[in-house]
Amino acid sequence: MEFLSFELYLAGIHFFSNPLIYIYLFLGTMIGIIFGSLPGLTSTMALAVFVPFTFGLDPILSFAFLLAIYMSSVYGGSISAILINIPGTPSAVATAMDGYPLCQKGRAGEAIGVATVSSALGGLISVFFLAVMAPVIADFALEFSAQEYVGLALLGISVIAMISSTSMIKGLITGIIGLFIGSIGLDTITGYPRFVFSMPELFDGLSLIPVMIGMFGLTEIFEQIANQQHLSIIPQKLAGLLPPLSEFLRLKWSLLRASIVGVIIGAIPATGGSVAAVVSYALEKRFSKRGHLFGTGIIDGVAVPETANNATVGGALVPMLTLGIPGDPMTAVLIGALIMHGLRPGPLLFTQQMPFVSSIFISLFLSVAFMLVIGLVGARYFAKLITIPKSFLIPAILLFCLIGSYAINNSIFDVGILIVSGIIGFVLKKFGFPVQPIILGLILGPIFEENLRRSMILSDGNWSTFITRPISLVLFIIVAFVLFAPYVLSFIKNRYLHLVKLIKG
Amino acid sequence: MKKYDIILSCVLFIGSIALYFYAETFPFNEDKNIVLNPGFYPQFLAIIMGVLALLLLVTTLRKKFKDIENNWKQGSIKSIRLTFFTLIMVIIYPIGLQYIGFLLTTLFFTFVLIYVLSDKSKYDVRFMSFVSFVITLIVFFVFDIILNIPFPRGIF
Repeated sequence: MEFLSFELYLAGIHFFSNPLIYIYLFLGTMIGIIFGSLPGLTSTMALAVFVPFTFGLDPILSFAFLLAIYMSSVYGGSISAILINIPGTPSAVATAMDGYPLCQKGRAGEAIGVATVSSALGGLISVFFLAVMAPVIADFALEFSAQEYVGLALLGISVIAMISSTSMIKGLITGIIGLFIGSIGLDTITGYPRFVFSMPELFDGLSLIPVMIGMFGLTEIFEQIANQQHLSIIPQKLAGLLPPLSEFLRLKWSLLRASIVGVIIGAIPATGGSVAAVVSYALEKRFSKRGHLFGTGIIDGVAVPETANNATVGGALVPMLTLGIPGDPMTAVLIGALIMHGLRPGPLLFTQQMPFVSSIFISLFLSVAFMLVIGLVGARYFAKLITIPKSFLIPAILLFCLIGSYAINNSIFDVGILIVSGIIGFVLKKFGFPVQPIILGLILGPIFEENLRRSMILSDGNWSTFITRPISLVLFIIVAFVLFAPYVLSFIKNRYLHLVKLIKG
Repeated sequence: MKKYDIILSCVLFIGSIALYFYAETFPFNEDKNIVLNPGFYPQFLAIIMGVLALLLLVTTLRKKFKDIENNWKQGSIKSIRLTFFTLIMVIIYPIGLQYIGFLLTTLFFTFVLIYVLSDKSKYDVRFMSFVSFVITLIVFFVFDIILNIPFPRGIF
């Protein structure tokens, strides 16, 4: 079926003569940035909350609104990641690593500016990819079966262990802890309660968001208080908001790489902004000449993950639109929105509802523009937020974390999980263990186990299936590379130096 | 800190062994593929964890230099106490939420924390109360009015 045609792209353009759509784009962007930047409120939550708001609205307008929220909330997380070292959304996890050090150096405005432009760049490239590659990528993603997901889950854990600043072993350990926590609950196949300790609330496992907010939010706040940082206010360099163009040009290949990573990871179902941000950050750290500076506060460390995470937006929409499979949790909510409006995702959408699909492309494109402008103009004001004394900010943030985690399932139990996670995270960090792998383990754990089992069922118990399937094999090779390459390489280097010494004399 | 790492790796190792044997108690079905049993996955993880714990022990013992990282920064007694206090308040909040109610608990929580964390010389109590009110109102507005989150009904 030929999807690539100009009719597709222009079929919906007449909708954009309606001024109302621009109002919704603007509103969506504002809401997205606000929700994104507040820890405790996530992109998925923002979308879930506002989908019902669009019930009586025309689908074109609804999706302009929702897509703007989606795009800018992914970006919005970077603001709090940079200013207070708490990622506002999971996709900003990697941004904090260099973003916050930059803020501490007094360069918060610059960091936010970079994040804005990078996000816009990533978003823009992903829209192009979405429009052009939708059929191709959907085909490839269809090939993914259980075995590939196992490889992907392993890859995710290894990568995140690698980029954790402390030792890789500790990173893997917390990753395994995360996988283990992910297995709490009723076993999906046998229904046997695992590690539930007779608490029915745990039957469904631990909710991801309270754990995430606890380990990233509460932990961070406890740390800041313990380190007496609750009093410090860093005067910000609010002028000179953006680094010179030359910096962006220097980074052009990195940013392109990051966009590609983002689009592909976005397209792969169930993995989204956070995974893309982490993977692109790790790749850049490994391969860039300035890799050793990552984590100390350099622009590269902000630009790359922000490009990648916004690139997942376009990527995630590919399987969602073409197959009805969500590329990440946010698109899962969007599928709900589609159905609510009486539309069915899938190839039929492309043939029967071309104007609508085209309006999605155009809305996305415009949302990038809105995000860019509002972000750059507002950076000044967002950066001012840090001058609010922390002693006022901290209680407010704690409130958002507490109430936010309650709000997900209207459950006080979740608040309890939040608090326990915060304590555990604090203790872990004191002992030098990174916390991000736990979250990733929690996300990937169920995927890993379920697909491991499915692989075994599909292959009739044959373990070699992971290596005989081509894509799976590639993934496992990459995993081995990520895990062992550093050691192998340093071993080789040592041998080489040893030889050199022998020869010299 | 080297010695903490050593202790921790031992703890983790023992923990993974305990986990392995605990998972042994899970029902086991001989007919099905091993993977489909509830105990397989935890045991699988336990084994990997055990190996990692040993690796950690070995690498820690082999480390020649002393503390390259010190996460136990010089926090004064005061800040440690503050952290504890914040933790207590955080625990009290959901309890208060259920029995006392949203508005009062939030107000109390906000005010107490602001008071405890602030530099007293810079801000007076009235200003702090004012900010507490504002924050409570904003939070109420966002969560109750806009998002319509049903809070447990306490007193207020």
